[in-house]
Amino acid sequence: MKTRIPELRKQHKLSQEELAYAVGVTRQTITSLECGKYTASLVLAYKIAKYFGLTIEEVFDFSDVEEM
Amino acid sequence: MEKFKAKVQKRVLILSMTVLFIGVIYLILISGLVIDTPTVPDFIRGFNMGAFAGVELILVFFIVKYFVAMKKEDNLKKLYIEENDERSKLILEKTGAFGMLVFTILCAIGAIVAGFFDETVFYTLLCVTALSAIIRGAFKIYYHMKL
Repeated sequence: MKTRIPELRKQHKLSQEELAYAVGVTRQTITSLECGKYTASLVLAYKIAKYFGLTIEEVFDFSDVEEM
Repeated sequence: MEKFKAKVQKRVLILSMTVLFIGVIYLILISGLVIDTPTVPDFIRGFNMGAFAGVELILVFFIVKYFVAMKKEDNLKKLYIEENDERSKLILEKTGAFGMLVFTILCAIGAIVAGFFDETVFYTLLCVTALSAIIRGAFKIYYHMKL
């Protein structure tokens, strides 16, 4: 799943470590999220979106999610 | 974070008692004062000593790690994140589930092959396969009902 996290981090001048600490995960989790290797849980997605003052849809790109 | 700190303090206490207990048990066993243990080959004696030392070192490492974490709030939060990171938890879950399945299958294959050569090894591997499958099944039923 694609995310706007790298772009948002740059805007806020945040390192991966700082963002990870702020939302309560490891730096490796943020790296995996940015690479699209890992999909955040609802709680983590909410925490990240809230941290940037945005909605979940504004941070995470759901266009690739398969429709049933 | 206070709840987690209390949890870590409890862990330090339990680990410290475990280190002491294992040390005492081992000393009793090797001294032969209370229980008369049979003479075993040097390899087994060396293995036991190495295992004992390894376990004690690991326990002491964790005691020190938790002690350091309790000194500063920042370190405590980092420890909390390390233990509760969702991606790490997912990796552990997948490793455990898949690993257990692979282990059971390999033991079954080993039992079949061993059956052609050695009866003792065959029955041992058969028991291990059965036990592993039963444990896996039991946990599956438990989590089916719990979640």
